[in-house]
Amino acid sequence: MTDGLQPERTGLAWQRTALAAGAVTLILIHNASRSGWGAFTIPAAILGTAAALLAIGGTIRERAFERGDTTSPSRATLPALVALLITAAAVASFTTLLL
Amino acid sequence: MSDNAPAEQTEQAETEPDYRFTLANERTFLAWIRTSLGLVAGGVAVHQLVPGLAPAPVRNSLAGILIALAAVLSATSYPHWRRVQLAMRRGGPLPRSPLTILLAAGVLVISVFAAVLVITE
Repeated sequence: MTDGLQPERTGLAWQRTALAAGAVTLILIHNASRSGWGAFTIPAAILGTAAALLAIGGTIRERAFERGDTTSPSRATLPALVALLITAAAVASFTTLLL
Repeated sequence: MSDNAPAEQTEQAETEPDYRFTLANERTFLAWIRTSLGLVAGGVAVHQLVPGLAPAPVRNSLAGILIALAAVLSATSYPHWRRVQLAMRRGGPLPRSPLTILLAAGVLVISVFAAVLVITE
């Protein structure tokens, strides 16, 4: 494990994704504030949760890299949860904005 | 010894791949998630920030395509990550990604739609 660049790049990818999720959460909060809150808060809340999960989970993953643990099981809860929450946020955005 | 036998069997069927490939797969997954997030942002922007672009129903259709594509990409990104991870653990060929062609087709539709809106303005 002499090549530290791969873990570093992966850690940065987690951070970048958390930042992107945070930015889109702000857009959804802005949209909710303009639309009178209510159901519009739901997609913002779901995506906010995803952003927090990405930040926390990414940090835990990066700590694991620092310990030299770069294994990844064939089934992983964190990516599954992240993908699920972002899909839910997209579906909630679609429903509240367009229906 | 009898306890080790099943573990050994699994070990033979599945081995931990080179960590660089594991991490590359993880980064690719995260890149798909970011693409999906970008599409959501685009959809909300079209819906809220450009009221002069076209009549509301037309604008909403464009926003709808963007957000629907985002949902499909994020929903398929995890199963794809898992298929790749399993293929690497089992030493099999990498599965083809349906995501790339889907994204290319989706972006083509969105671009044509947006171009028509801008031209007919």
